Amino acid sequence: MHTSLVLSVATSLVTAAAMAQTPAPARQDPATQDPATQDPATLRQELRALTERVEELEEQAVKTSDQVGGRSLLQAYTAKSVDVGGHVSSLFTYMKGEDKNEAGHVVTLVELYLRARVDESWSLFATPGFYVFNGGLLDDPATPASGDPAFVPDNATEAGLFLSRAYAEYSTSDLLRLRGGVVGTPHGPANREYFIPARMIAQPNLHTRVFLANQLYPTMVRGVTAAGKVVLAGGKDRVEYDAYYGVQDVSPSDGLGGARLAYVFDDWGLSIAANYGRGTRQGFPPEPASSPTPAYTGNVAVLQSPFPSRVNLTRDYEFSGIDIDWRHGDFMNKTELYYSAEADVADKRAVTTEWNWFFQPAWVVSYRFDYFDAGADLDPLGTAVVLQGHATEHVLGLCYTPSESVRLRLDLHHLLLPNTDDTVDFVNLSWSVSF
Amino acid sequence: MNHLSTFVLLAVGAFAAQDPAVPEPKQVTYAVIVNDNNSTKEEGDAAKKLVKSLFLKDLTRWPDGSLAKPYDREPNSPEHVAFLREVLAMSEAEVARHWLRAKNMNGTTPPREVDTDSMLQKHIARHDGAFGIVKLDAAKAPGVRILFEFRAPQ
Repeated sequence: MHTSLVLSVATSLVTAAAMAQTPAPARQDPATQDPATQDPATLRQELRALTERVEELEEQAVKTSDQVGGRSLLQAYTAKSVDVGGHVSSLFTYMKGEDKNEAGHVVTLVELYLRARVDESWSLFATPGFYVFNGGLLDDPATPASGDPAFVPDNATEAGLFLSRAYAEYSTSDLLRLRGGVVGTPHGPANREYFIPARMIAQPNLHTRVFLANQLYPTMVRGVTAAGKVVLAGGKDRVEYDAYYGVQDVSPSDGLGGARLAYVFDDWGLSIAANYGRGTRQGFPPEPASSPTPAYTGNVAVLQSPFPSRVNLTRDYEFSGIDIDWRHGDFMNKTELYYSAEADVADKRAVTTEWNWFFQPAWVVSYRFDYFDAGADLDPLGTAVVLQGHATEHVLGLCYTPSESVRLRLDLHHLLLPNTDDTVDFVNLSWSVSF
Repeated sequence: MNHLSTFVLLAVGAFAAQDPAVPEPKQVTYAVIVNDNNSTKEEGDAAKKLVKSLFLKDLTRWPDGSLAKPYDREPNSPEHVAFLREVLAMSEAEVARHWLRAKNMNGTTPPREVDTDSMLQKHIARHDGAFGIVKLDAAKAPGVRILFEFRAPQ
């Protein structure tokens, strides 16, 4: 009995071992099987597995996409996101004077835009730039009743680095946004859209024409700004405010400040703003400083401006103004009216209105009228205060945007020079390529 | 008389057949979806205005203070076209001009584009302030909810 039991177990083990060595029939790949012949339960199981796999892959893709950014591959140290952009803009001109004509290069500049979001509240924005220019002189500034166009020769002093924006920003609400560093001022719709690729007409209006200068109001300061937006009327309208305090590179010890308060009619695309500011205009250092009759002949008008970028006579100023920005469908208008009371000398005033019509998605025709009365200042020899007079300009522009990154502009300028009946006509050809 | 009336009826019928009514374009319902944690209560036009301001980055935060993170769809997708027309009420060229201006004021970039419904909803489920546009019947993913619906021609 015992022997038979042992034999039986041994037989079973041998049989099992033999069966284990026999190869199982090959499992057919589901992809090559006819679904009609497959078990529906197996199909459902496989479908479920595939769905889960796709889910996993999509999760992974989303995580990767979050980390590398949506437009290009980039790795940041601690920032949640980093945006890098920039532009190259060039301006060439043909100027027609009374006795001679000139054609040449005015300015070329490159600026990089670096924006990093550090966390939900902190971010930074900086735009290191480099320029070369041959600032076109419209007329001889020392003898405003005569003269002809010319160009400043290009040399090391007329090419350099500049930093028009470099600030840290803190914001936890749209009601308050704080910025510190090199910041833009809020005055004037054209100045607010500071960077050249946004412009339909390459040269700014007369009172902001000289790059980064404070000809009537400051366009940038080194200091702090506070700004915010309050939504009204069920989200239809809003009030925007901006205030700033800081110094300028030409007067680093003279504090200046200002504010803008705007009402935005969102349905109409219209904003109307009141502006105020005050500060000190630091006089141009005469050369040589020890000279008994200091001369200011180095303080000349450049960049197709009829007025020098700085004043010779130091004075306090206080300005106010209104600006209007209206965008409705294919029409756009930007208008500014400003008045600056200058201590002890004649006041400055400026009016500009620019109209744009996007008659095709890629084509814009523009017209702008500028008036700028620069008040009064010491004459080039520093012997007497003289009126600088006013200039007016009509500009007709055509801008072609073959892609959202490229703008080509052709602008016709007719400029009446100050303190004279002289006019200068010039044609500017410019382009901006940005990314 | 009987033949005459039959003839008149046939003639009227033939005339009517030659002047077919212009078919109404088929309407599709879309949804603006937000993260489930988004506590925004705005409805109707107020919700549209808010989403428009946040999408264009004129405003940056939801009423509860969370940082808005808008997502766009591919430029030629029906969702993008419908959103431009019905919510932004802007043309493609106007939107392009807006982003060029925003970039050149303070470096603001346009919303990131996401090409599939499921990817978009995963992005939105991951970020509290995120929102985007899908067709209504695609708005089913966990972690997202519908803020409002709108209809547009297909």
